[in-house]
Amino acid sequence: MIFAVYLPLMMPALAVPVVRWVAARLHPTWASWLVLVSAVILGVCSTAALGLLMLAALSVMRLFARLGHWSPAEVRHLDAVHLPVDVSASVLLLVFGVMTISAGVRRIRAIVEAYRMASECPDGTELMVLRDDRPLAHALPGRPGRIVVSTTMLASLAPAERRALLAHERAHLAEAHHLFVAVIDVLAAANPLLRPLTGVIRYTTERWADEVAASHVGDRSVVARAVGKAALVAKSLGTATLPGIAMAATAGPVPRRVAALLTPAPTNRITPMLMSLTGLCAIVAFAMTTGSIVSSLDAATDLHRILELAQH
Amino acid sequence: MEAEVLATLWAAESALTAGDVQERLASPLAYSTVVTILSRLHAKGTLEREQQGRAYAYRPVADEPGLAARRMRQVLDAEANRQQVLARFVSDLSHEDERMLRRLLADQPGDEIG
Repeated sequence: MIFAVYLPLMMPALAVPVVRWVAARLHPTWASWLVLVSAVILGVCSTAALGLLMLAALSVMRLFARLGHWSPAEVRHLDAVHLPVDVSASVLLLVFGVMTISAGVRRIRAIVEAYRMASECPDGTELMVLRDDRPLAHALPGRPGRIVVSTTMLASLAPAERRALLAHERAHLAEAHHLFVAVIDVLAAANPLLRPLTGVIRYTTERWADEVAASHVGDRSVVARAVGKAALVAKSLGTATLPGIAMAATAGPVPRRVAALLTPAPTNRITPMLMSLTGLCAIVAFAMTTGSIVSSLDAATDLHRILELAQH
Repeated sequence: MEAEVLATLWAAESALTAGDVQERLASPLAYSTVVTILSRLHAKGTLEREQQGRAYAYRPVADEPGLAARRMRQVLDAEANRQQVLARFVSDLSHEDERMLRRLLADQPGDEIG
């Protein structure tokens, strides 16, 4: 069909690396929002583009042509259809569609389950402590959400570090970070090119909670120690390794979080952020995602026009 | 504030008086506030207390929220296999990460790292 329809399909391949690079440098709150908004736009537009290609494939089928009162031969003549491409796009759309729905259902179920757990906790207790040898600390979303920690985790930390941990988990609950993660996971099922962002959003929301904890405690190094100690305790107890998780050769998320906390707080003001190289790249990322909206709309208009031309 | 007091009691080896708790809290809290929080938690059944000299010493009730805690553990165990809703405070470390982390924290003041 029209060139514009391929742009939203390819755009994630171009935009994701940029978004990733920017997200690692921006204040984590902005970074999380950037990742969320650009993933939503890229995911929706690429799905819409696949949908248009599928429509093009359907448009030459007699049944649909009769319904829409256009001539399949005319549609072909107007060069609207490249069947091999359109048919593969349709197959992709169906496969991704099924994956997206199942991912969505899984996430929603998990969140409902978390809400149920939280509602079963005794009233008025924000903190649930589990007797457990593993150093656990989780934010359990709910109404209200709860903080779940194990005795081992509490015992491994100094008083100020415990305070940092609680502030960190509280930030996850207050800012609904589980929704950021869930939305990106579902979008990654809709377009595998977005998959790198699932790791990025987990990192930026952790960093976001770290920054909230740091300003609550008033000492960045306390939060750094809390995060670092918890990770080392988990490692020494050998509990944290899950099967199937590849160990990266480069620095994993925890040392990067600790290193970020040991440097001055990132700026949260818009002007200095936009003046920097990072800001420039953020604008580029934004332009790319906007480009995919424009081109999918363009492609939709084009297809519509062609079908109109082909009408008897 | 309540969560912090509770966390302090759980982290302690033995029962603590209001004075002990106040000493171990990271945030400066008035003695009377600590006493209020402790008696509220006791009234809720979260803490048990014993007479210690002239004051009460508090400790968390052993199997505090019973059923809820057991169910929670099941969820966390399941969660460990399929990382989903619950964000974990820390993720896994590679050996390289561990070395880097120890180096980063070694330059920091504060107590020894396990």
